[in-house]
Amino acid sequence: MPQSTPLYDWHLAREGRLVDFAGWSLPVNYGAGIIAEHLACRASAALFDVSHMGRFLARGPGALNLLRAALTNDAALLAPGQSQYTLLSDDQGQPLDDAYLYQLGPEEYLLVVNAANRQADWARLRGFHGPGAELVDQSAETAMLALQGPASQDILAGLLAGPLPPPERGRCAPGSWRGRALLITRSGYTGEPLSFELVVPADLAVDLADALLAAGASAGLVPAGLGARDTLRLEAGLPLYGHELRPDRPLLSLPLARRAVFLGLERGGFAGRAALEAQAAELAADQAGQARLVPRSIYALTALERAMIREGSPVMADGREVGALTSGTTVPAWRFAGDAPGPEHFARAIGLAYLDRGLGVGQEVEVLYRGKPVRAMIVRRFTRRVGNFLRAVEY
Amino acid sequence: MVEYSVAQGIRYTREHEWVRVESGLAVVGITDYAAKQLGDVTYVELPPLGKRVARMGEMCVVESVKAAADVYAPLAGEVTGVNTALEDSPQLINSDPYGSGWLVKLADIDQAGLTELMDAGEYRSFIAEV
Repeated sequence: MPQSTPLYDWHLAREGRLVDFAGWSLPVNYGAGIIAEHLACRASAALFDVSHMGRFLARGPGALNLLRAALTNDAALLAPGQSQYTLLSDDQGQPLDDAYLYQLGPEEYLLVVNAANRQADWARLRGFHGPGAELVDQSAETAMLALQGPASQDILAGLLAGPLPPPERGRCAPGSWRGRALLITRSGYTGEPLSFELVVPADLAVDLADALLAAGASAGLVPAGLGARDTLRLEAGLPLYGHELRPDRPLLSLPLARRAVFLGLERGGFAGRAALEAQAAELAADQAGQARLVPRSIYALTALERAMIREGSPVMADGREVGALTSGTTVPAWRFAGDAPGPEHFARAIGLAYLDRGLGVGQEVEVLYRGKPVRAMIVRRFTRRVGNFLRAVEY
Repeated sequence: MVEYSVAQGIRYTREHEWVRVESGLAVVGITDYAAKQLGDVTYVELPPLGKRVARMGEMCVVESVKAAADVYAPLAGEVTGVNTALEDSPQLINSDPYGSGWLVKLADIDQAGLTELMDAGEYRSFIAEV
């Protein structure tokens, strides 16, 4: 039996189509469907139950040392109220998970990890346990909601007493609702310029989700499931563990990960350091043709014709197979009227792919889907920010 | 329990296509059951106009978040129309499978093939057993 989050009945009451995801019973979509949920997030706001993610608290005078030893990014670069993208690496420089680390107070941190890796991550972190550090698994006693999209800030500000975190991505601050403490973070997995995640006591989750939906109804807020969460993160170019990040690939083959590995000398040793230094040195030398440690990289590509492409589809450049898609599907997008979404939307096929290094942005490739070639192009990104909206870049 | 709608007055295949014949022209789509099994439809590969299809020959492909499904021609004929609205709004197949979510129009059809297809009552029993 999959585990259920505190919002299990809430999902069912809203026509959530529940599936087993990483051992959790969660909705793929609600009554409106994935496309409507995706579009609502981009034009207004969407509410996700992300309680399945692991939430580990590290605190005490030894917490910083534990996190510095276990994670690729350097927790010492944070100040209270800030966060960073980080990874867990094995000794060969391959990713065991990716995560977000929030500094809550002078000696208090929250690490949010993927549901599928929660137990393994917990065991690994325990292995770095040193004096003065306390690790607490808060996953069961808390729930986590993600409120994402251009309307999210107004909805949240109208509901919560007190200020939101400063308007800067990744900031976090304590808040309260109905006299109960919660954590407000400016983060998420949709790429939205305005996005929030709320970590709340488990018994508060249903009431807060109801209150958010009621407060956001007139602005167009809808509940959204795992399906839209995946198409939104893909459109934002964000990696998914098990797809763009895998334990059998070099960690630095993901460009985003290169900004989440801190190799400063003053930091000292951490898990995977030697292997990651070697990968980084090879990337810096930039001799893609002779690359041994990081022969491939994750690229974004968009189809230049109406088509479908999916994970596993081979990618050809100049008649040679250069890799394959790690994620791919058709995603919806709004047509903009001026600086805001207009009434019409369109569909396009986009993907992320693990390809030989040395391919350039703008280069045309072919993606083979069900035996048929689809014309595609390597691109830098699928979206760009327009005010508080994320707009599709069309090629 | 998920409820599946079955429209009256049209014929059904065991592969979950439907066909409605209007003045010699066959309009073809997939059933509500098929659409719900696939989940949210995200892309439809429509056939070129003029293409000749054999009875139960591959006609087009419907892609959902989960999977790709071949759609077969319930009757032999020639493709004379495709629902281009599906290019930007493929989810019409989920929201209105027997109406605005139609796929293809076939002309020059073999009407004799109709008798081998199920009516609404038979199809309802068929999906109840699946």
